[in-house]
Amino acid sequence: MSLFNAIRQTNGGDGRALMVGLSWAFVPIVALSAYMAGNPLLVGAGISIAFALLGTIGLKWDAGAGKIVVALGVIGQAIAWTASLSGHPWQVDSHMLFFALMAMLVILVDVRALLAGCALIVVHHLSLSFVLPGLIYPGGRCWPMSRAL
Amino acid sequence: MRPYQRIILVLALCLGALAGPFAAIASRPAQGDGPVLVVAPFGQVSVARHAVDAAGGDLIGPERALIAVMAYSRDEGFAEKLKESGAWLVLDARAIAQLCGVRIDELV
Repeated sequence: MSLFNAIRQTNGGDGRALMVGLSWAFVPIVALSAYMAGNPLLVGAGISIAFALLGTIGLKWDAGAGKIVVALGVIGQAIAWTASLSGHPWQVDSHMLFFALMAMLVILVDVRALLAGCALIVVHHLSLSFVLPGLIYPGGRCWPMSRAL
Repeated sequence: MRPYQRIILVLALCLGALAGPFAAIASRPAQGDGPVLVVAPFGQVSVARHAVDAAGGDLIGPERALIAVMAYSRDEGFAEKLKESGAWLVLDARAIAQLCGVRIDELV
């Protein structure tokens, strides 16, 4: 039995509800992190709720498009958590969540959803690299494309 | 995939692109020792200018934004005075200026 088949049997072939639940579970974590880091609660929690709502929309769609939206909602939680720790020493470490959540997207058993999650990560990091390079890399001299990819 | 679904996917990517810069700027309150961006309620620039005058600061920048003004003062309590004078948000202007590729330290 392949790994994918094992996952399918575990979650009935559709892990969307599980992943959306995970997204909503991140909302209080993000808010608490923002509070801990001394950042505005509304910013991090707002981003987290926006992505969780987005993922919830994916529950209503057909499986193909729905899984892609759910994947974006999950990866968005890593964006929200990183944003909530803005300026805090843990912000660099918070980027590990991107890798962890990307691995969890396997539960959706959909390559397109996995690729959509990767695309969101690249877009997020490229936007910061181009718009505010000085806030990410010392001196703002890093070649942004290579870092994001 | 239906057209409206594609639009939502594009909007999701836009949200991902804008979330980082927005959070980075909104999470940098004024430090008290540098130029600040003063945002008045509902983007009323006249209120923001009045707040800067009342707080004893000076307007800076070659251009005026539509919903906010940049200001500077040597007074370390400048940010608090601005809020008492009606400013809604007082943010670190250095981060905002980077959006335009400007190093604001060279201007003040």
